[in-house]
Amino acid sequence: MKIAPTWRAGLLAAAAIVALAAHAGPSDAQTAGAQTAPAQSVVRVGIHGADIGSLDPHMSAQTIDNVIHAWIYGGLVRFPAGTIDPSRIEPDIAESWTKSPDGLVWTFTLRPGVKFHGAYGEVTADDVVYSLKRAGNPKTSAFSSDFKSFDKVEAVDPRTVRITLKTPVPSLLGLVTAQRGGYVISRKADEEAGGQYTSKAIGTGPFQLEEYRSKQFVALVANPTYFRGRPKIDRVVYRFIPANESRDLAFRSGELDLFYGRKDQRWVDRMKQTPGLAIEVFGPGELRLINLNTSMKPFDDIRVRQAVAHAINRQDFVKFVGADVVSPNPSVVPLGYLGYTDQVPRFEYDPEKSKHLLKEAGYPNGITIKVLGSNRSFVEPYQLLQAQLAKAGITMELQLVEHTAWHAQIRQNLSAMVVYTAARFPVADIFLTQFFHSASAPGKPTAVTNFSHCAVADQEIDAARVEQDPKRQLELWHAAQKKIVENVCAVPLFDEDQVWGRSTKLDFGHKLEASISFGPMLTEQSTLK
Amino acid sequence: MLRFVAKRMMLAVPTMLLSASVVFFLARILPGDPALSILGDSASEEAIAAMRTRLGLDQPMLVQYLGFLGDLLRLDLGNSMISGHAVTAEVLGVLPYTIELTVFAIAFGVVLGVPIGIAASLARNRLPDYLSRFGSLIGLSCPPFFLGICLLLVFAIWVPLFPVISAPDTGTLGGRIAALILPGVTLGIIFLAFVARSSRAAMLEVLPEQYIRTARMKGLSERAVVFGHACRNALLPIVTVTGLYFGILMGNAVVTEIVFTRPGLGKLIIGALNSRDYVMLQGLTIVYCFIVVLVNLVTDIVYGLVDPRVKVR
Repeated sequence: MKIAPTWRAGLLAAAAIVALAAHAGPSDAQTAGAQTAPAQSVVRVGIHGADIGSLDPHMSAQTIDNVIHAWIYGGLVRFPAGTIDPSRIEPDIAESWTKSPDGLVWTFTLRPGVKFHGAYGEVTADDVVYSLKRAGNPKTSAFSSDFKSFDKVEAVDPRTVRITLKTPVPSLLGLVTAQRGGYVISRKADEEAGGQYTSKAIGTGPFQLEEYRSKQFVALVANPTYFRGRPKIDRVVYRFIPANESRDLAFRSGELDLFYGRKDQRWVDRMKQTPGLAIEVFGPGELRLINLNTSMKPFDDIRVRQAVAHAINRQDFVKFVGADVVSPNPSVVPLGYLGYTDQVPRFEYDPEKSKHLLKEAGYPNGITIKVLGSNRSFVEPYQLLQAQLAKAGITMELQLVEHTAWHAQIRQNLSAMVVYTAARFPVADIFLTQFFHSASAPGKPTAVTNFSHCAVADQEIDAARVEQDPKRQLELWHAAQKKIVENVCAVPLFDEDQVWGRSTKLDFGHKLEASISFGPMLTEQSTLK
Repeated sequence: MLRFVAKRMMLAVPTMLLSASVVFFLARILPGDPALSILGDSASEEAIAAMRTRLGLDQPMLVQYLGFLGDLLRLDLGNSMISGHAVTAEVLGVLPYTIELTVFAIAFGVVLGVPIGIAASLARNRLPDYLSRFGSLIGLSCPPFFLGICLLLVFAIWVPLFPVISAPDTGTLGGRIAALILPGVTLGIIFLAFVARSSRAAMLEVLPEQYIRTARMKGLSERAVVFGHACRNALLPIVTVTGLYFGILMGNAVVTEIVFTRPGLGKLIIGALNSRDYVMLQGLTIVYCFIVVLVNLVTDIVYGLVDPRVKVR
């Protein structure tokens, strides 16, 4: 056996590697959490995406940011953890508030002793005024359009903040709730940070920033001076794990306690088998809409839009994506929002009728539409959509593009059909305004996401916003939904819930029904066994 | 020798500048920009416009380009448009992880690939040869994301030897090594297959040569013939291959870093692409170019050292 030495060399090398591995051992290399003392309770979170957009709470609206903002920041008021019911909004930094009879002047009294993280002292009315003005400024905030109706924000005294509105809004409390533009930041910290609040991230919430390593993780520690009491969890490691499979595997190997799941029935069914795992399915549901661009051919003809509506079989979509994670929705506002109604016109599934409508509209041989889709969501259901439309004589040529590129393109009217999913503050006004008010259509400076260029319900949406009689307000919102559905600006499909995996050792300390941040809340009550 | 190094480094400057310029314009031509990705899907056009102004993206492209060149002259790669951190700091922060991963993969490939290739050539058309050829075919055609997931399933879940999150941020050396092995093997397996095939082919070319026959005729042991005469000549091209592959492996590290949740240049570049972080993309291009040029230079020097017929001037 003359070649023995070579084989021996190879085997030796392999043996050396195995020995090295065995020596290193897995326990040393758990996560960043492992470097702290074992007595500490560290919650290890795995989130999709490669990095946060920003730790500045006024600067980003992506889920990956929202989830962690909610652990760091507070607002004047908040939803009780685990709910998003506007009628249950409770005090946070403010301890009480009053409003004038015409609903235009709101006065908030701050709770004494609420401290910012670190050495930034007690929250004063000045900080609140500074934060709200900052949130209303398009240069410093992604949410400036939410604050259009604000006239003045003043500090009456160090513990009193007065907001004066130009016109009444459906939910002023919604704007100052601990979420999006409602988060309160420290004026001193922001001025020190010089436009880079990500590096400071000073808030009033239960957890404070310890370290941010870009593309790797954000580490938070318990805020020792949190006014509701020091959190029982000592540390949170919020790690970016973009690969879906890697998050699943990291949970199975015991390296995660909480992680972003997948809105997919097959995933839910498969992961349910994992010991020690609880699947959390919670609100807010994100409404999946097929927006049809009414400003361009062929969807400028209502018969063609009706043909699409009759071609869609909503139940098949629910079956395809999964009954555990989606609920069918016939209306153009997510289920359960204040002002929601399901009393809207229905288009029964009838491909023959679609063909007939197309023929009437001058397309006896059907139509072909080019559609741009994001590579990040709905990828598989597109195939079902294609198949359903094909039965009605509509050929859909789908081009999947990278998410950011897709977003830029749909904002330039480059796709006649835009399949989009979204949730907003749970009052019909914001959703209807952003998706179906003509001022929000692409091309306008105030453009947001009215991809259908819908303009049929502007009057109702505007009137409802300032209506002081709650009953009349609801009627107006219902009327708007009816008109939008009737005119087929969009074909609503279903609401998709948020899906996360949680270790059974982790107890949130509250019942998780819904979360405005799209992720579970970790509070001073949360514990890890 | 010093002149040679200096000359090569000078030649690298236009290469780096050209690639960074191509990336500069390509990135800006792509639909979507950092303002959109910072502010998220629900931002109003107004807020996006304000953000563009803040990032300097409302300036004419030529003005932006001149600014970029000016910064380069001062050896300043700028600050990330997303995190605000200096690109140099972000790159230096993760560079060691990518380098250690690539070096591990190279070492894995060479240490196992060369002996396998030699063994296969000596046992031509017999079982070890078939096995190695079949194995290297599988290695070459196995995509890293698939192999990575398989390795994780086997060695992190079924036999929990290694962590799934191979992020070496625990601080301990053992942890760092444990976090390196699965990703290193995943990245190295293609290179291993490549090295095994190349060394087998090179050996087969050398073995029928006259001087090998001469060596055998003068009564040298088979070991001396194979290692002293055949290998010395046959394996020279492996040096070149390794140098060239270093750059390729650094590129392939992208997928490996994502599957194993490791920090590194690959993850940095993917993140920068997705969020349209122009400044980071330009900086990374320059860094990648620099590394490739540097490795090629080292390869040439090493080649000169191992092959006396080649002189470095």
